[in-house]
Amino acid sequence: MFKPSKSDESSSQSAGTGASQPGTPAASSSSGPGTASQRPAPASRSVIGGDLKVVGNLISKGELQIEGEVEGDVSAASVTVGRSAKLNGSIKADRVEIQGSIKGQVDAGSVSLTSSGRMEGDVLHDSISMESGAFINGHCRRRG
Amino acid sequence: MHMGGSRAVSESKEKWWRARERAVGPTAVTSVVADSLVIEGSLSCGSSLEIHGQVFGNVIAEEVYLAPGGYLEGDVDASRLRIAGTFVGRGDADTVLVESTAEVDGTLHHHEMVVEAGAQVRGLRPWRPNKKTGSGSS
Repeated sequence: MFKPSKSDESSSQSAGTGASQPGTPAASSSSGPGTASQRPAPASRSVIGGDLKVVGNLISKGELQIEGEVEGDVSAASVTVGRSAKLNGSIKADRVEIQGSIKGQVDAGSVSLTSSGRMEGDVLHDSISMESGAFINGHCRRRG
Repeated sequence: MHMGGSRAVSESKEKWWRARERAVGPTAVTSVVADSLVIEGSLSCGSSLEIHGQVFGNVIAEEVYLAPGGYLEGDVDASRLRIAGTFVGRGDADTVLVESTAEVDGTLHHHEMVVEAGAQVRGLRPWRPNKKTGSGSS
């Protein structure tokens, strides 16, 4: 796991750093096992776990997965509101997938509401998809 | 040679930290604040939290890991607090591990603590004779 596509990685790294320390990549990967097996890789994907409650705003340029409770506004490139998630606030994103429940506005390029999703509020979208069984109470409007 | 020395230190540090984890049991759910995420507000959870991004607000969790490059400004209440990033505020945890990459500006209340060489710690580090109630077995 800690030696993924070794040749590509190391060649690009040594090219970037000017091959200053050829031992560094090997050393970092050898000290990796202890931490890498225990902790997930420092991903660009944020996870709000099932037992986490956030009171405040979340602003991200990357992916965001919400399984817990959020009281506040969310802004990210891609937002997934998981089955167990409860969001009280607005979402502004390029892509939103709603499996849990939302009270607030959604403003996104692509919105998909699954059968377990519950949406109370207005949706502003470029494209929307809704599974049968999905709950929506609000206006759907195309933006732009 | 230098690399070997630092590895030995980091291994013993990991061992020490793992032993504390085992005493309470591994926390199943992990929430991750990725490096692109900024949270302005408070967070509370009963499991572990990893911060690679920025948090401005108070944090309550079982375990908090502030990764290198991560920034946390606010009060932290946890059983285990591991700091490798920048922390500004007041921390309170039974076990505190301050790694070499850490920058701390504030108070760290603790029952037991390791500060690695190279860490920048400004502020008080008051020792607490007792563990927190409800943090599990002694």
